[in-house]
Amino acid sequence: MKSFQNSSTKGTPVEELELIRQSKTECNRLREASPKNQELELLSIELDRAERRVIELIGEELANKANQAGVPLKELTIRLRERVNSMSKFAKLFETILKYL
Amino acid sequence: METSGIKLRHVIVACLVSTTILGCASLSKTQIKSVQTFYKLTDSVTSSPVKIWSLLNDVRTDRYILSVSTLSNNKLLIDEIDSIRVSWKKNNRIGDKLEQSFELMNAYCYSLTLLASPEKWESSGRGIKSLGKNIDSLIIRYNSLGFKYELPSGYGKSISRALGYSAETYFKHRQIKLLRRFIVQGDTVFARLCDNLYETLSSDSFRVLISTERKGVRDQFHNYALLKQNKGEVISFLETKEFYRMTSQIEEAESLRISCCRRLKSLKSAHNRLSKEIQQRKKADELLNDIYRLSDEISKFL
Repeated sequence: MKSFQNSSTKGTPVEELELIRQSKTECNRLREASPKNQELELLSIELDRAERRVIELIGEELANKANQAGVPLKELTIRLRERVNSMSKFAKLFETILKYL
Repeated sequence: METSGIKLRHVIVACLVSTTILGCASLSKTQIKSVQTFYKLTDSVTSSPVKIWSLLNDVRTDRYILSVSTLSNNKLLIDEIDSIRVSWKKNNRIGDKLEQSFELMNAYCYSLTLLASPEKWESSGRGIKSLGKNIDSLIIRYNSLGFKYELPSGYGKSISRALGYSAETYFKHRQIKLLRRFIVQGDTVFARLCDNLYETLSSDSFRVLISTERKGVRDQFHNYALLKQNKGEVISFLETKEFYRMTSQIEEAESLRISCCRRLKSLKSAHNRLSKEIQQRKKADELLNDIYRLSDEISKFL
């Protein structure tokens, strides 16, 4: 397990995930041979946790990347909303003024 | 009195003609339809990424539950279930974060639809048009009071109709001006966002996440089945059905990812098409409709 932890920190999250998957396959194979081995159960759990951590990391990276180009569109949408609102207000004001004429 | 009535009539007609010339720059029916179609297309794309993420998150949770169910240590099992729950929540938050850009895309398109909506601006003109009757009755009451100068009666309706038509045309003119400005400005920004989201969904990382689930579910189920076999037990119908459900969910996520990538590409070109269309002037038949409408309005004054 120590060797896995050391090597996993070197690669990218995707490479790390692949390494974890390979280790899990190996761990499962060993557990099939000795099903009640507590150390192997612990290793299996550690690998699951490491996998979850890496998946969360990849997810965060993807979400950040997806949101990168959103800022200019957000600003444009805010400006657009302001214009639509001011036009609506103006239309209402115009109608109200004429009603009282 | 008759002369001032004729003059007033001329002023109204002149006012209508000038506003119609201004109104030639208003939105055509095709342009309004283009904006509405574009919004529908965006709406269909925006819900997909969250669904993909949520499908993967649910399958992943089930896979981990399958993994811990093979443990012989109960304490370890309970701790692990808590850890799985925490991770599920974290991934849900990531899903919400991933949704932000798509929601933004939706908000932008919705605002465009709101601005392009013909009902929104026509209603103010319609409201003004109906005021004429009130003005006329006010003039009749004024004249009945016996003042030296009588006001020309019967023109309240005409004035309000002209004002209503002018207001409607003015708002339509503002509407197209704003739409043109925002759509042309937004074209590059929108294209960049579409490219960015396409790259995210078609990235190696996203593909790896799906393939990890695909392999993970198979490996985990295989391991679970073997451990049961070693105890002399067999996999039940419900367990097999669960395996089927999990693999189906992964395939659903993958097909959603592919269709979402395809739709993002078409969304990008749809916005570009919209940008070109919105810059075009009205077609001859639509201009003719405007002219017929104007002559119809004018005929009510003559």
